[in-house]
Amino acid sequence: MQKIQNYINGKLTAPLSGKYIDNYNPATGQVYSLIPDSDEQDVALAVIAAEAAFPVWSAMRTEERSALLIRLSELIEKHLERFAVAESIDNGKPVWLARTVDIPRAVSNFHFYATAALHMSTEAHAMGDIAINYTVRTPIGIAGCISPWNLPLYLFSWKIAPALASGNCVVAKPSEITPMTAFMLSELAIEAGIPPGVLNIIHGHGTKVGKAIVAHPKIQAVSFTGGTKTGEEISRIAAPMFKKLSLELGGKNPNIIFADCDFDKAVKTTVRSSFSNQGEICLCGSRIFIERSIYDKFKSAFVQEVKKLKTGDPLDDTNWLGAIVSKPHMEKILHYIDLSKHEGGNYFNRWKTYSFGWHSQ
Amino acid sequence: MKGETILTGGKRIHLGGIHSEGYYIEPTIIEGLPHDCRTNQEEIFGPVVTLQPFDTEEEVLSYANSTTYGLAATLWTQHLTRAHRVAGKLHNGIVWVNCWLLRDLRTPFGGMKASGVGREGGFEALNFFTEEKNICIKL
Repeated sequence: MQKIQNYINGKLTAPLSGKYIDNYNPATGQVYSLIPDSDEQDVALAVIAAEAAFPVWSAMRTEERSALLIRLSELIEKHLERFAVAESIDNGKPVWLARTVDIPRAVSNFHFYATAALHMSTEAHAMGDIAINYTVRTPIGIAGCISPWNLPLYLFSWKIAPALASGNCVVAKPSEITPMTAFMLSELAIEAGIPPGVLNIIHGHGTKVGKAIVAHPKIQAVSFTGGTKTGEEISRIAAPMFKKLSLELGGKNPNIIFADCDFDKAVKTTVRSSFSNQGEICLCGSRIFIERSIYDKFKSAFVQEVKKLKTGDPLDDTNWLGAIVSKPHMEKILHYIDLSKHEGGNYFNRWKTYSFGWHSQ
Repeated sequence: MKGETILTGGKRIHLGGIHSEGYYIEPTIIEGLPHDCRTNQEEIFGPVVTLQPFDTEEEVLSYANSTTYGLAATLWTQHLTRAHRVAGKLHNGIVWVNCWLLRDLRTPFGGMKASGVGREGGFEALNFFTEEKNICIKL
């Protein structure tokens, strides 16, 4: 069975613990690969590598850094189909979605930030003939990037691309639910010639690896996307250490439909905004408010369209929805559907709040 | 309001063959729930949506803004001033009018309230990953 490896100091390595976690294919419910069960020792090695790489990487001309990241972007594009299939198997999302959204967006993220860094400028403020102020911007040092399972490579690259482009070294952790494309990215980083230690990818549980990244005194900035509960925990560790924090957390997005809308477009797009990626996008609209005068008309058109959606094997292009990412997540959703059956009135229930842990969004 | 109704979906799907143990759920639409119940307040993060009627702008804004979250909102209207007015009053970091998930990578991306801290996207992200220093020189 395939063993995923960590990427530390430019090399693909096994976790120091020697332990692995089962990686499930949600479409079949079967284990299909193994994920390093890394811990703080692996994170410590990654930080040492990042620290050693930082002086050269941060001093490199922006054009050179940019060229390396563009090369990485081009390599992902070259392997787009392979990445799309891997993302679909790992996450359960339809392969057509990975092919048209996830992987192209990862390509764009690297390209966008590789070129954006070329346009960074700083300001000067003159105080007449008294003084002049100028402001410089320098990379922070080592950035910690922790990303979720719903849009695996898409959101992983959304964080590490700007961190690298602005001259930082990175210690990153993809979700242990969907680690495959981040592992494939580490292979391409080697091929692209990203210097050893600049990008380090550590696989494993959030409670071990994520926590170690957030708590490491030499990682001065943490960018996290995931559940609100985990965001709270991260803040509790990082705030007293005065780290820079960027947190992209949960949502319960409203979708408001007025009677004067373009009805057909509203119905069509609401199908997408409700159920794209099995509803596992933080931007999906889950509360649909409809002006009463068109409520029945909208309801019947919407229900009719949704009944046409096919759910099934993510690798079959005729399916519009694929599999839910994991068994615990599927059970959580089914519990919520159950809960809703008791909420018609103001029925008070004892359903315990589900904890998202360190890995979900 | 009459009780909760599942209009479509609501169940796990059991496929055959190698997919028999896969994790599939029918796309689910629910109506008849109050805006402040847990199904309408907590993030489910799956193929489950609820439908709720409203009569006035004020009413729908109070429903929309009633959660602890403030990530994104979508708004459907052909009325120009209403679109601006409602968009301005929503407590969300991202508002889409007559579209959804239309992304320009230069724009600030992120949420208000319990949906997060800070913004990603464009120069926001490059600023986040850099530290500023101001140097003042007396002439």
